[in-house]
Parts: sequence; C-alpha cells; structure tokens
Amino acid sequence: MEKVDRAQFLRLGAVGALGAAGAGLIAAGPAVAALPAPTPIGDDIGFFGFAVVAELTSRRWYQETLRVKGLGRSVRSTLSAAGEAKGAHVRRLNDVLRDGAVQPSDFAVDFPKGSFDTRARALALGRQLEGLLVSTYLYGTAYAQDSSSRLLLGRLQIFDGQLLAWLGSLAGVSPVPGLPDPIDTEAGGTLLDRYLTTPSFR
Amino acid sequence: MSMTKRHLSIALLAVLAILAAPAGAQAITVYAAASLRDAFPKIDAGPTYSFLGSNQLQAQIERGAPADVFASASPNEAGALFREGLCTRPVTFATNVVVLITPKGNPSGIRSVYTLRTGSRRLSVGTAGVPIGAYTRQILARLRLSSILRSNRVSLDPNVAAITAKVALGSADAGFVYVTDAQSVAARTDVIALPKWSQPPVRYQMCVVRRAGVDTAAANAFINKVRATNGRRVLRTYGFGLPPRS
Repeated sequence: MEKVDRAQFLRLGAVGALGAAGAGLIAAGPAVAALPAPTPIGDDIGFFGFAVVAELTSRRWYQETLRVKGLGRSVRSTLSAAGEAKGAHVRRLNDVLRDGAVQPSDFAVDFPKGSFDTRARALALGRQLEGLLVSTYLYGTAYAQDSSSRLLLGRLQIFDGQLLAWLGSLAGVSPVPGLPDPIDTEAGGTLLDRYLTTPSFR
Repeated sequence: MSMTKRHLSIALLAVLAILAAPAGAQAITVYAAASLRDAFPKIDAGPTYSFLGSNQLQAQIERGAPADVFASASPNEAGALFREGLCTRPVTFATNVVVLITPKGNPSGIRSVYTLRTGSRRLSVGTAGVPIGAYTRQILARLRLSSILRSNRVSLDPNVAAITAKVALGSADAGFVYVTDAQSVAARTDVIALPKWSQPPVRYQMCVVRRAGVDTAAANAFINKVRATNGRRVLRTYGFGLPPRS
C-alpha cells in the first residue's frame, strides 16, 4: 500500500479534495485542478448542509482517534492530516452555504460510550462515518441539479472514498470493488443523528 | 421649629416625593418575541409586555415605538437595530429548537416531516420575515423539502403564537413551531422532532432600546434579571436552552 504523507492530505483538503480511487491508494495529482464555484439550484443546498455536518462529525472522529492506544506514528500522522483535510472540506462546503454556514458550535457530537476504547471499535465507527459520507456524496453527485455542485460533491466523495479504503485496510477488511450504495439525506440523516445533540437540549 | 412649620415641611417633602415617584416607578415596556409570552411574565411581572413576531416589533421600534427592551427570537432583528443605532449591543440569553406539531392524536397521520412530501395537508408556517418562518425555510432547504410549501395547503402566519393556536385548534394538520411553544400546548398537540443535523442555531437576543425617554437603568435591570439564576431557571422550565454564563 502506498504511504500517504501529511502534505498530500493537506493539499487534497485545501483544494476540495480529489484522488484516484483504488483500494488504499490516495493520490493527489488531479486535486490541484481548480473547481468552478458551485451555484446550487433549488434544494441542492441540502446536500451541502448535510455534508458539512457529517464532515464536522468525521473530523471529530479523527481528533478523538488520536487518543486510541496502539496506533503507530505514521497512522497517527495520517489521522491528523486527514482531520485537517476534513477542516478544509468544511470550509469549502461552508463557502457554498454562505449565510447558512454551519459552525461546530451549532450542535454537539456525542459518540457512543466506549467508541474509542479499542482500536477495533474506533475503526468500526470511523468506517461507518466515512461510509455514510461516501454514500451521501454519491447520491448528491447523481441528483444535484447544478453541474458545478455535482463536481464538488463528486470530488469530495472520491477523497472520502480513499479514506474509507485506508480505514478498511487498517481494520484488516478486504477492499470491496465497485461503488457503495448511494443513500439520500433522509436515510443518511437518521444515521448521522445518532451522534448528534443540539446544545442545551441534551 | 413650630408645629405648623414642621407639618408644612413634612407635607412639602411628601408632595415632592409623590412628584418624583412616577418617573422611577413607571413600568418599563418590553417588546419580546411571541415565543417568550409565557416565560417573561414569570421572570418579572412588572413590565408592560408586547409579544409579537420579532420582525414586527423591530419595525415598530424603527418607527419610534416606546419600547425600553427588545428581545428577538433570532440575532437578525436585534442586530439590525444595533447597527441602526437604535439599541445597545445585543446579548444572547436563550436558545430553542424547531419542531413539527400536529393536533393531538395526529389525525392526518404525519409520521415525520418527510410525510409532508405526499402533499394536500393543511400546513401552518411562519411568514418568511418572522424568525420561525426563516428557520423553517432553512430547515426545509437542508432537508431538500422546500417543495412541501407548494404541494400542501400552506397558511402563512405572522408569528409562532398564531401557528401554535391554529394547530392546537385543529385548523391546521401541522405547523412548524419552537419546542417551547409545543410545550405550552402539550395537552392539545403531538410533537414530531426534526432531524438534529438540520437544525439551525436558534438564538434569542435582547438589548436596551435607544430613544429619548428610555428608562435605561430599569431596562438593564430587566435584562440582568432574565440572565440571572432565577431567570435562567424559569427559561429552562419553559423548555428554552441556555447559553453558557458570560
């Protein structure tokens, strides 16, 4: 498996993220291509609103996982870089949302108790979150009306797909060929809500 | 001093005291978002209250209405008055969340907000200018459900109290209100939670109105009362969330 360094992750995240798909292979090459600014049409904005909450939740997972015992230095370095790339995704998505931008203080992330007690549990949760992101990005890529919105969602999906594959390799899971099942924001939201609380309404 | 002079002095002091009293003792006027209609009088029964949609109250203050305190259901209205120099810097004192309510027993069988995609129901929604209406539209856009405002029979209401009353009376099959309003009609309505990820931050802010004749000291005292321990306890009792103590 090709080693991913911190610079690659940051570069990916900074431009909105893209890489070549493939089990565990995270490539940075085409990511530098400039993206046209998305101009969501109608309810396209819903894909971005969902994605930014999911990316913030995922970023929290990368931050929390750094505390898990038994992870090697290079894994920690990659986790850290991935967390920073997630931050870049959030900024990119919030640029599209403008006045409706989502802030981390808008909700609280509450992972189930014991989620980070072991490496296996942490990885299972991480794969679930990345899987959710990849599947909803895929749905958005198929159904967003605005072509530049579809492009950004597609690039984010490919980036997160690589992270999903990387987490799978850490967990010892064989890569599954082909695309995951797309899921809409209704089903995706039900899954995401398990990890969220509204501040002051716990 | 003779007895007569002493009596005259006492009488004079009494008259002066009576003349001086009204300015200090007169109740202040609080303009507050309709969703605060139950909680605020329980925190302080003294002020004269006017409860309406925050945007309506903002417009009245801009036209010179004699308010001393303004409390809005979103930062937009109080922030606008602050930028116009018509009130002090607003402070956040409560939070809320938006829910969907139906008449008790949910006669039209609405299982979730997504059920509204099937259309043809009577839906009560705030106008776009009032905070509850703006929050509702924001949530529906996030849920990719803006179309339900066209596929259902929508009545646009000027404030959350009107929406709550309409659903509680069965004049609407469902309405978007704050969870605090749902709590006030819990005996007559059912609550359907909206996805947490779709909730915008609902923040209440208040400020002292800047106008000639405003009772600044009493207005500040009211704001402090709302933000003090007892005020926070009352707000919590009515279902509001609370920001961290500043």
